[in-house]
Amino acid sequence: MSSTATAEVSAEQPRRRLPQINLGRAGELLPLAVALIATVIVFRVGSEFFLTARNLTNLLVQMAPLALVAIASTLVIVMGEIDLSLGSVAGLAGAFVAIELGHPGMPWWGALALTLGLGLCIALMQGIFVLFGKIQSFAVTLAGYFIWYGVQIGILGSKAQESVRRAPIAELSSSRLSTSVAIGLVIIIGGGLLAIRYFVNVRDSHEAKMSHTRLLLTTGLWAVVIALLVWFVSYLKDGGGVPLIFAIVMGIAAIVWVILTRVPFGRHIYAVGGSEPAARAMGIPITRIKLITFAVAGALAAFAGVVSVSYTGGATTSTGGGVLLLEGIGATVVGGVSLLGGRGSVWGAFCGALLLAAVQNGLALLQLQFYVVYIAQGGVVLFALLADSAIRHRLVRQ
Amino acid sequence: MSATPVKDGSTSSSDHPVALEVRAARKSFGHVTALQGASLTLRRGEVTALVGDNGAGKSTLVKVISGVIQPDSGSIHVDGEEVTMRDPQAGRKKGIHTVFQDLALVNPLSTTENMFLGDEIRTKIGPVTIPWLNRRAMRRETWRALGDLRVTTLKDVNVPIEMLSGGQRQSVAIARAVRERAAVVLLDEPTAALGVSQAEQVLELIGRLREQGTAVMVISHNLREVFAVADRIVVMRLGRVAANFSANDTNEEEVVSAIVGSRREPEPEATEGGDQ
Repeated sequence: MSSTATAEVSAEQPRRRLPQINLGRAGELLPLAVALIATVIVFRVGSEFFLTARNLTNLLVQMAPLALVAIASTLVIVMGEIDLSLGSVAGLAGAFVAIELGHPGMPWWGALALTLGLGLCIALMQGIFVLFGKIQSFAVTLAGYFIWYGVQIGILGSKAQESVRRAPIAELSSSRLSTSVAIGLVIIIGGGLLAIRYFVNVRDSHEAKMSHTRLLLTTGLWAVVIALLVWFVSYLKDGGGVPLIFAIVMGIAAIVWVILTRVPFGRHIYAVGGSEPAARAMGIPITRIKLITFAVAGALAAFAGVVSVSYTGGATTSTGGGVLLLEGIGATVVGGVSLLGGRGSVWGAFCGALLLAAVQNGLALLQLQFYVVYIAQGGVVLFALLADSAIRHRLVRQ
Repeated sequence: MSATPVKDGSTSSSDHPVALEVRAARKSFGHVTALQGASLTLRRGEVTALVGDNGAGKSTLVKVISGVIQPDSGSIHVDGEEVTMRDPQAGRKKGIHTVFQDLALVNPLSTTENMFLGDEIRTKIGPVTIPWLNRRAMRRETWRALGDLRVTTLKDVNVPIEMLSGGQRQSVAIARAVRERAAVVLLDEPTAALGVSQAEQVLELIGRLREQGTAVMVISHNLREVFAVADRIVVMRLGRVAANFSANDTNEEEVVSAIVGSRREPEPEATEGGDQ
């Protein structure tokens, strides 16, 4: 890849190209990976317990609601909007699913479906206010943030709802995959994707101008990543194995990623967020895209609420709420998703959630006072953003 | 009409077949009359420059032709057939493509993605089309369109276009029209944001569009560029076509005086429109 195109162009200040080692879009996750490794080292030094299989499996369960909200928030932010009600929707969904499960005749899947439907409808309604009422999503969803929290407190009454202890909703966060199944999944899915990637690149090599050495190099790098994942999965065996809910969240992230990058609808979400006038000029159905995306994000937030109460064993007034929301947005932003819309990946948000959850978990192990946890989390968000911004500005001259 | 070298757009003579014709288009916004019966003819393989002072109605005319706004009265004919366009998509279906001043490109998306924005190639499995991007076919078509325009400065169609120079971005915007095999291409100030050498490249691209038999209309304030690229120069003033020159038979001075309306012009019917 040449860095200067022709003499004519270089006279006009050529923009810098991506660096030579090209991990594809995955290269954008590099600063995050560095931050994550640094965090792990710090906490390993601080606490013997941090890297034990038991703590790590616990961490993967703990991060699930946060990761789900981060994925939801990624969808909304990429299309150039914001949803401040995601945390309250999660809280309300937690209370709602607990109450529904309390009805003896209600099957668990019925309660789950109703709850996801509730989140979907709430978000859809807010989307309608945004798009047809022509009110900014910040304002509409800020109102939603208060309203749904109020409803959550209202339907819960004074005592916590513990009916979520009913199987299999309770098992959502307690089940573990058997290690051999988990390793099989990693090898089949990871290896399969890698093989497809390799053959597609070989097929397109004449037009993509990717040298064979570089292709082998990147393929090798990914193979190492898969091998590390296999090792990690087997390491978690002592802690009980890979949590089912983590696999589910990974699966959801993967589906969202595929839609965002390989399906026209997903690219239109980026287009709308990147430049709404351009998207409109090109005839993209903006209203439809935004409504669907808001709705899906609402359903994901509701699922986050279900997972949350499944983990804590009961719905309370502190389920979901502002902290979950802000951590979710924090994870999204730390993951490289631009608040201006049009940029970022769902894996970034996923890793951002992992980072924030790790910090939270690690600080808890150090038995620091609670206020320190918040300050440190804020510091991590700021630091990750600074690193990201520094790298990004070297790549793209705006 | 006045005694100045006003020829109605529709009467201009040329061997080239007519691609698009606007007849007596009128458009007012509230009390402001932007178009007071503007007529214009665009021919295949011919570059028409649309010039005029600010507020002369150039942008409104372009929007009418591209389907962004609909005229209050008057008609638009494509290949001799009257058409009504509800939106720019309808215009694109009729083969009219507009390269807007703000480019209508999405910065974080790649060249390929911008080229196919809203019109992506989907994957076919046998007879069934699934909503899955055929990125390979899109890349290939992108290279073909860039090749047709002989754009050589673009090396990688997969990077976000915000990493490209202004000239390259303009090339992408124009190549999008080529990709769609547009019969009529309207360019709104295509060189306004560019440096000299890049503006030169864009003018070359416009020349290639003409070679391919496209009817091109360029809006520009830069008369030097207009004379460099245009076959016909249409001057708008007060919402109508005030003059229509063949670029070979006129000079800058004549065009300027038509723009400002300085030469023995009895303020033609300026009070007649809906603006009072």
